[in-house]
Amino acid sequence: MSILLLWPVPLLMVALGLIGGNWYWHLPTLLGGVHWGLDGVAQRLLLAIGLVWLVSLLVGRARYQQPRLWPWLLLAQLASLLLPLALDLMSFYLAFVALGLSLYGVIRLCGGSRCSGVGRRYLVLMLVADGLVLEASLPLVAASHGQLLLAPLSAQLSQHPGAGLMLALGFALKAGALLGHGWLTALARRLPAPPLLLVSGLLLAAGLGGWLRLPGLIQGWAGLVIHILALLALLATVGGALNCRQRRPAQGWVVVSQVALLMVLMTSAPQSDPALRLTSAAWLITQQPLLWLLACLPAASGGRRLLWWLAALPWWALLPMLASGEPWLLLPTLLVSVAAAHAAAIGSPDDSLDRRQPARVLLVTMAVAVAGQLAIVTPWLATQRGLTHLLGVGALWWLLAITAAAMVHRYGPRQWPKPLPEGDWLKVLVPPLLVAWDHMLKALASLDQPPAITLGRRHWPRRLLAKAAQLESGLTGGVLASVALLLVLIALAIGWG
Amino acid sequence: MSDAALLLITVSCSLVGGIVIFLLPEQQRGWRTAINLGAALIKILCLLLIVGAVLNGQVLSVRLPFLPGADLVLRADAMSLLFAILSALLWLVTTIYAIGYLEGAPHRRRFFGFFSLCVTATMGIALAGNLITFFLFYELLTLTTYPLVVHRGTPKALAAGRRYLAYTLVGGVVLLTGVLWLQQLLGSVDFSHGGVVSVLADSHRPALVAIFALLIGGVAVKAAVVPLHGWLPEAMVAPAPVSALLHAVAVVKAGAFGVVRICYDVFGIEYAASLGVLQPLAVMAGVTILWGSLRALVQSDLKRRLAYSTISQASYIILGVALFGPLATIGGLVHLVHQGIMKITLFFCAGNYAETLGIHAIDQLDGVGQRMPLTTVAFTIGALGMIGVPATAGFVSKWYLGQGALAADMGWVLWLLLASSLLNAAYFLPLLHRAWFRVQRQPWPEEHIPRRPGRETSLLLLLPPLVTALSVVMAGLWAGAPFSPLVWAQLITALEYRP
Repeated sequence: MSILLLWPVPLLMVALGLIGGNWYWHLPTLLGGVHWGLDGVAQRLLLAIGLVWLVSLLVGRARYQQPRLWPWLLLAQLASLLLPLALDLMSFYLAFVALGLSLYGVIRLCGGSRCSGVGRRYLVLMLVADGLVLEASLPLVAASHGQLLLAPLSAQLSQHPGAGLMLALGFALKAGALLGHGWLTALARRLPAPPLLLVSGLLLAAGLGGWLRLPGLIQGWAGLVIHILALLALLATVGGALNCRQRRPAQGWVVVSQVALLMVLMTSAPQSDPALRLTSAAWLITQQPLLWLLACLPAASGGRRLLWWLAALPWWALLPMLASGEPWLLLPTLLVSVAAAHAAAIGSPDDSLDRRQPARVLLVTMAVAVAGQLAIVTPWLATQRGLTHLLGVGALWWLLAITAAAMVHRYGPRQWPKPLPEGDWLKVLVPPLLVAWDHMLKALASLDQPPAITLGRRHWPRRLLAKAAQLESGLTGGVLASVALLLVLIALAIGWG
Repeated sequence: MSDAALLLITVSCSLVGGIVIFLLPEQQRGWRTAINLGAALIKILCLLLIVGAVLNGQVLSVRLPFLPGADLVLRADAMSLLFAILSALLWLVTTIYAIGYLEGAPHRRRFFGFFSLCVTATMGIALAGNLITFFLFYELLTLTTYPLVVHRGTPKALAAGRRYLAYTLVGGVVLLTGVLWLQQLLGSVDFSHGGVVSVLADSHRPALVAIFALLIGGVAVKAAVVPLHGWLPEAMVAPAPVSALLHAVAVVKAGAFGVVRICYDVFGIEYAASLGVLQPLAVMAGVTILWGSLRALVQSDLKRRLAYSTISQASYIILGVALFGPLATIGGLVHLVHQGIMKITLFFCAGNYAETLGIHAIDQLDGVGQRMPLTTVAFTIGALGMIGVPATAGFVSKWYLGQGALAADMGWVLWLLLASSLLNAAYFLPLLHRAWFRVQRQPWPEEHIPRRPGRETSLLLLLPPLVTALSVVMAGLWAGAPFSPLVWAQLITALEYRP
């Protein structure tokens, strides 16, 4: 086994609390006084980042053998270890900057001359992001009398909305949100998948790490501005993805649209459970390996294409959507799902970028990524009243998503890869869907226990979701929902087969 | 050892060393090296003893009669030690580098002789206790650096030397006018925490504004403030150790240190603020910061680009002073040290490229990171420090300057710092890109030192930039450690802003 594969081990060990347990360090002389700790945010982010590293090294270990690359990888790894652990501004900013700079080395050395121009663009955007974050941090620190801990600084954000917007913009640029996305969509055309998923995953972690450490960003009118901008960005990026005829650029747009969706979901419920935001953000980070590995997979048809779709769909969006209880949020999530399904299915892999990987490597890698997602979600689920309410609501929602994706596939623009078989699969698909709906509604109507989670104002979809949450009290609903989903999946498989 | 002896030895050990070097025959390489290094070590030892005394609350001083009403005064306080220690340490490193750089070159006796005299002048400026002493050593510095600038003796070097002399001597005359005018108003002008001019009546305020302009105008020439900076890029024709000396140890630093002394210990920062002279000074520094960075962008010669970078960076020190407030003062003072170690690293590396491979132009840097990885690592650290990347010395300076700007309610300075950092990135990162990511397309211009396994260049050339690059990282990472430049700057600031 290549020694490279051992690199993420420290990250994962720290994430799982195997090194030092729940520790907190204060080093007064380092960087003017740093605070590092292994709290819930750090653990979840480390786990996600560790998985990104593991997957990237697993599929790209042959590519990473060149010694020139190692200092850059090592620097990136140190930065990605420090980023989640940093509880103070100085060390967070150090990791934030170092990650951007070190990944430039990875891009240039892995991408070669193809990435020359886009590398420059990437670097400029990273520097602008770094500058914005620094520029916004200074007034916050000054207002809090030199305080450098992130938690008190977050509390200051409500009094400094301008600084909050600058910080938000800086984090968004780093994460590859719209307007700062150019590097990502361009790299998607030029960089092989292993470094691409590394760059995409780690920078997403850097941007989201900032959002998670400074939750004050999504409060007040600054949060409202971000919410509106994210919505606009989401519409634009979904359009961008649907307009693509090639798989890789479409995947790039999907990543950008998912960042926008997370912003929309987070800002629509700023008071929601922070653990939920954290879980969905970490889940989104681990989605990156799956998305970019899909770009390497051969064009599929039939049941296999369905698998591709399932891997690409933004499952992570379930959690914040549940928490917000806003029915209209179904629409943006649906749009992103459609874009993701579209990107996973169109075109074929670019053989000039990605050498064909043995199937077992891809399978193992994707299994690692999925296992990582489960590891991230499980602690959150453990704090809730059970798995079944998630399954119930999830099944309901994803039926809609898959239906929508299928309809777009059938009636969408011409760039869809190939016409569907003539068997008029909608006839196969729709009846089970209706049956599932019917069973679900009946199951919900028979339940009258108080909801397991608080969902705010009363609304029809919200009540529906609340009822769905009660499914955990009895197995009937859960079983019904699961069976309905299974039926639909089988129907879909038959329809495409 | 008495205070007087300690201060006199500190200043004069390099003077004596310089005179002995002039008397030695050209071929006495071993003796010359021993005297150079011995004098540098004695100076550092003396300064360590002085530091111990100053930390115990003492202010060491010695007064020597010079002219009626104008004594020569040497005085060691926290601020003078900041500059003196920087100069002494960097002199040692530069001497080691110069020994390697000038290996086999002609006129080494002349070079090292003036080199030592130059450091004597710098130490005199650092330890000057009044304006007259400051002025005398300041002019001595001009005279001793001129032979270093024209060392190569080429027509270009001679022209650069003439220009250097013209600028600095005119600056000296302006400074002298200010010194004499103030002397006429106050009598002897000894440096003192909180300044000395506030005892004058309000009727003298217009005169004091004019004197401030004259004094600052005089020292601003050496600090290379726009539009008085023209000599500096031309002086890049000098050998690399001289460039390092001019930019990081002696000349530019002496100018910037002069601004600090005049503002804090002659006028007193609060009185200067009440005169309304700090705001124009801040604007002047801001213009210089931007102009230097913009001009650096379009330079194709490596050393000229570094020279314009110095013009920009030295004004951070002046900006820190002009912002009025303890945080900005800390930023300015600490940048005096940090800019020195970062810039000397860059010049050492530029010298290594020139001396080893004959590289002078920026487009010749392609692939040099493969050929000279250690030098390029040092160059990278220096450049990142200049940009202000965290964990380097430059970040600490910029952080405190930014905080100071907010405390002084001058928000525009934050945008200035951001613009300057982006411009720094725009002219440094392409160099790093060429060095690390481009492949060598043509043979090196003049490969003087062939590549050997594990040795990219001479050890004497390689060690100094590595040591200074390491100190750039140490100063950034362990900024809060005892005796760090930051802690020392905080100590000085506490004295200057004592209620």
